[in-house]
Amino acid sequence: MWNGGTRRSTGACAPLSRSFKLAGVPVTSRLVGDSIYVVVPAFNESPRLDETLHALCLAQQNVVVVDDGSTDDTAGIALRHPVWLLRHPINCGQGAALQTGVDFALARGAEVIVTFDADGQHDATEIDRLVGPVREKRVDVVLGSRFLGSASGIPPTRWAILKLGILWTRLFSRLRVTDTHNGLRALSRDAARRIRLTHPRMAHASELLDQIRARGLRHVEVPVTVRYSQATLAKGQRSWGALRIAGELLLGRLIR
Amino acid sequence: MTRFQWMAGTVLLIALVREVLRLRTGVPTRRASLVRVAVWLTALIAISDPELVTRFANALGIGRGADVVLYLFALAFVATSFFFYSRQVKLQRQITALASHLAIADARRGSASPPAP
Repeated sequence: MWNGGTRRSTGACAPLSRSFKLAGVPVTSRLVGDSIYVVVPAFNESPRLDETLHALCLAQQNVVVVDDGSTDDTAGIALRHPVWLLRHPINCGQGAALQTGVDFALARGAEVIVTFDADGQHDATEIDRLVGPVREKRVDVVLGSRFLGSASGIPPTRWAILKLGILWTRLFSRLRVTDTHNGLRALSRDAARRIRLTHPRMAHASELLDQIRARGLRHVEVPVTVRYSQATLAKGQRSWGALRIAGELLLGRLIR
Repeated sequence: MTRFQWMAGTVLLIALVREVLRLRTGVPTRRASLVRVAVWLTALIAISDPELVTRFANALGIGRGADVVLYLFALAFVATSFFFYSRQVKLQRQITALASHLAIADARRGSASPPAP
């Protein structure tokens, strides 16, 4: 049971010595990363979650997995790792899972909150670089951009839809970004408190960009790597999902 | 009167009487009940005297009584669709807030050390 009054992690991953390396992965963030929380929304991710969490736990000590009402063994796999596990009793959507994780991290005193996809398409070692501008207080939000970095194995249809999504964001959110719907981001504590995701499903990514602009939050994009594989593509959003997201956003603007 | 007018009129009259009786016994949703009385009464009058609807349509600059009914139904459909979508969104947000609260209250810590790769 979570003790809401505890501000610092009492988890099993104690900070490691400065010179230590684990499986060849630098652990600098473990030295200073006590206030960095990584939120991982997961829905039926049992085939991919073990590998994702293994890499993530080597790089970060405060990992929060939000099992969004999975019907497979996602929760069981998460509990094999030194992570916090929160379970939605029903499937509420990725946006809702992220907000739950963010609320939990804020309650535990997180100073920087990173969002990270569960399907293994992100690189955990990039988190340190991602949180840099937030830790230095230069910006409130850091957005990962696969088009500034690399997107290996991206199918042409996905590339085209993402480019349309960028156009949409520039038109409606009036935010000049090079990537949209990238799950790798970092938010300062203040930004995380000011942003409230109300779209429970996939439209939350656009809603987040809308709120960055509406609240005048300082933001920057950082190049990141996104790896597409058969597994991530099988689980990821379908192409027609873009239409659904557009519909949700338009209706959301009409009806609050 | 046509057979349709007899049938529809009877059904509407029963609904109207039932609603008035409920109102007299003191229903908790008085406003909704009054709205239903108004709807049944309007429908009853319109079906009993179609010429009245035609005159109403002409007064609005619409040719036929059937057309004004169609337009009103179209407007009512749009309004109720927005109303129910809005309610569904609010309900969804409440359920999400509840799920989130339960998830945070029951947060668990995983294994002390990561499993061997």
